[in-house]
Amino acid sequence: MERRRHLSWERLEEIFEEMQRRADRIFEVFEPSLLSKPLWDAERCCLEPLVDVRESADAIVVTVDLPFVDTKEDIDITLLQDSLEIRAKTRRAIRFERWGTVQREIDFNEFRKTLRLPAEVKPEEANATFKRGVLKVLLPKKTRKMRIEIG
Amino acid sequence: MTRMSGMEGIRVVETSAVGLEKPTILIGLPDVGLVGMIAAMHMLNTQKMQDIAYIESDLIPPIVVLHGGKIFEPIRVYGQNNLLLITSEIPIPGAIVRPFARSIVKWSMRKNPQLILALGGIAVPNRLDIEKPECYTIETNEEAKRILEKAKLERLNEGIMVGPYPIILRECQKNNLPAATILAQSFDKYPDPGAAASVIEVLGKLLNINVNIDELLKSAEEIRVKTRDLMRRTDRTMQQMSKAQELEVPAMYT
Repeated sequence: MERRRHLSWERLEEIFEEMQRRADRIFEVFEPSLLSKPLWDAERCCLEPLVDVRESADAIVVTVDLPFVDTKEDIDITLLQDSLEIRAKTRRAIRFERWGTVQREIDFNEFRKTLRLPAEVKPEEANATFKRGVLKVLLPKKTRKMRIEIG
Repeated sequence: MTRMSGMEGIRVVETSAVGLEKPTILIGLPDVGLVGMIAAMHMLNTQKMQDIAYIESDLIPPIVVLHGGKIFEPIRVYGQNNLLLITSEIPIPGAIVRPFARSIVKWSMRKNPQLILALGGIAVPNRLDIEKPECYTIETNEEAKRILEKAKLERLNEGIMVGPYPIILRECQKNNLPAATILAQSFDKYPDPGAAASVIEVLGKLLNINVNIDELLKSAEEIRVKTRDLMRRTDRTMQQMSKAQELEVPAMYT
């Protein structure tokens, strides 16, 4: 009974969101070779943005193409332990008149993307900029540097 | 009327009479930032070019595209006012790049072109900081250099080029056809209508035609949304062709 009382709609939503995140991460891992995940989610009326992830010795730089997103206030970035979640509201509905195999009209209102990070990062040093519709997130990597003297 | 020409299993099938005199042939294929393809789309819309031929091959993936309830091959040729335009709605798979290039260059030769221009992008890491992308060129012979002089573009002198355009250029060079690329500074993995606008401005100068780029820039966001699938697919094709080699320097030094 106690357990049922805590399973509110809010909690259910959280569980579904978490399941979705995990599914997204599975797609992220396998997508390049095995799967061709569509760049949209009709159920949630959201589009997946194009993303570029570059990794250097010190940092991971993620850039995201966000057309129809006006300001940084419309973007929500969440850094999880091993992944980055980006949500961005578009200033107007993006309408496809004849969308998909059934050729129906559909509106998308948001971009969403969860991507798995290739290395551990320092969340407190992360920063982001948004310019001309492109979001750039800089994530310094957790690295242990040690200087080696030449004997 | 249908006329076929081709080699190595790739054929150009003409569906309308193409009686142009020394035409300029434009090529806009999916590549870096989809610049060539976006520029091609803008040209065929603003110049009201007509569908006059298509590329047919068992080597091309089994795809057709639907437009206005009609079925089309994904790689097509358009024509109007002494201009021919070859464009594609799919990335050209690496395995067929060479026979594809040989086939379209052979077909182009029979049209006795004044100039062949490959339109595209060149990935630059600082694209976000560039307000108006600049264009670069590489020409195949003196005649092409003479024509391109008018545009005053910087020439690419050293480097590695990967993909359909370098192979098309090489085929043109072997056949002494006047050809050149117009490559605008571009995003690598995102559709770049701003770069396409720079390419079109250069085209306008070279061809003495007035092509309005305002509409293109106004619909840039729409284009960026609607070409995401092709961009992703093109990016994968480019990775399979080791496009990143373009960032390397050639080993032969002087």
